Amino acid sequence: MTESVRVRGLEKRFGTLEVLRRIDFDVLPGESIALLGPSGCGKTTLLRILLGLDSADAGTFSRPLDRAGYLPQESVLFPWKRVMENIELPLQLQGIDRTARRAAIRKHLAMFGLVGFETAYPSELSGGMKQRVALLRAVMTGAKILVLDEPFGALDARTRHQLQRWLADVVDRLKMTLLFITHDLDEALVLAHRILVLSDRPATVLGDIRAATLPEGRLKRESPRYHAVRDELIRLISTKEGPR
Amino acid sequence: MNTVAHRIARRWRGRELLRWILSLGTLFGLWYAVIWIFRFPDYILPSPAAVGQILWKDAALLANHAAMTLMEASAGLVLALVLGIGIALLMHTFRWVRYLAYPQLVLLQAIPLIAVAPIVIVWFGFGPMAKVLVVAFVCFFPVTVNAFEGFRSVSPGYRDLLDTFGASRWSRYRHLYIPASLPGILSGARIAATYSVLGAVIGEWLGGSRGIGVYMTRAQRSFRNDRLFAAIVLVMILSFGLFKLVEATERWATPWMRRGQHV
Repeated sequence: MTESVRVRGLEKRFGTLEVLRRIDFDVLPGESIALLGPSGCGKTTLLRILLGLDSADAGTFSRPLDRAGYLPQESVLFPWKRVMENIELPLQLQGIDRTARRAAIRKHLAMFGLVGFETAYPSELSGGMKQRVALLRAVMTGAKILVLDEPFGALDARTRHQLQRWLADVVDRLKMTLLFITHDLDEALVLAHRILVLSDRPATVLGDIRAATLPEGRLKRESPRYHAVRDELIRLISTKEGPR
Repeated sequence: MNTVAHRIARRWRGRELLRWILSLGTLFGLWYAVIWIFRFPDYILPSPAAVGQILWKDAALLANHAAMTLMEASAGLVLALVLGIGIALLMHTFRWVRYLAYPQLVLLQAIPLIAVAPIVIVWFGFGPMAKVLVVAFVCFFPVTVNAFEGFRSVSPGYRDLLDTFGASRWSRYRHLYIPASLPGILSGARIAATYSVLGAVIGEWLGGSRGIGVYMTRAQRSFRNDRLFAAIVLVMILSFGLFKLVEATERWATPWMRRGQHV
């Protein structure tokens, strides 16, 4: 199997501030990868480089994810566009005509729980629904990889929990690859097949933990394996050892 | 149409109507009180009733003058909007335009209108064109600054997102910068609308054959303070009308703002 993304020796500085140091990892098709690390360590910078929104000072990656389905940390929906208009924007920018793009979107509305909300404005939706709209828009880019920056960070625990399970299901049904940033250990555990633990700035990969294997699916919260991996992650995060 | 009429009726039936009655009642009350306390004769300070009489008696004449002032004010406002948004777009797109134009904008704003208006009249004559340009001059600054600040305050996160969708520069403006800055632009237009009638009247003071400013200078020369006050009331009505028109446009053009969210 060829990898979706292959990152080697990625480095980034902002002036004298070293942000990323020798970042290496691979993402295989259909895999879900969590990037876990302390605030301000450079996770978002790493994603921005991979998305082609920023440039790296050194290193290579197999291909820029410039057409990935991207969900930024904030300001995800355009407030002046209704739900349908928000979702269809990537297709509109690809030059697909209105009838075709709307037909394509309607096939997914039920899976994303958005039937009946097509004409609503984002301000009329709950936080969870906004994220579902943004995710459907990311899916509609046609990309096979979703890149999410703390997708559920702003939501309450209950909604976050529901959406994590739902997202895992959607990603599997659509056979998509997922690369996401999170601060939440449990989110990483329930969503990811592999968890890349990043150190404090300058970020480097402290560990690459396998949570689950591809055919078997993802970890269940009640499973002993879940707790074993969680303990392992906590041990790794607790090490004060910085990059060498 | 019925729904629109009902909505308007509901709006005016409620607290707003009461507020307006109270506010105007207070104004007229104070007006009468000042006349009564200081024993002002009609030729110094006419009563609201005397002003009302002039408005009624000279209605046709005043309407004729007001139509010209309204035309000049509206045309000047539209010209300021077109120029202001255009310059703001250029300043936002090209840094060198911003560096060149922004200080000049601030300096232009510092020039008193009363100094600019005669120059414009000398250059463009006593016709309506000169008045339209005076109005455009006075409205240009709030429109340009608000539009530019609107473009500038857009969160870079949105631009990044559009970049990942492969948006062109034009698409960025169409889908992001213009709608995001629309509330700012219209807010600038609202301020400009209140200036526009004032700009037209000042232009008319300096010469012309029609307009409220012309009526005012004639009233002043014949010491008819009651007519002057009637003209002032008319200027207030026109300014308020334009303000409300822009406000209604704002409500129509930015429906998402009524639901309490902006960028």
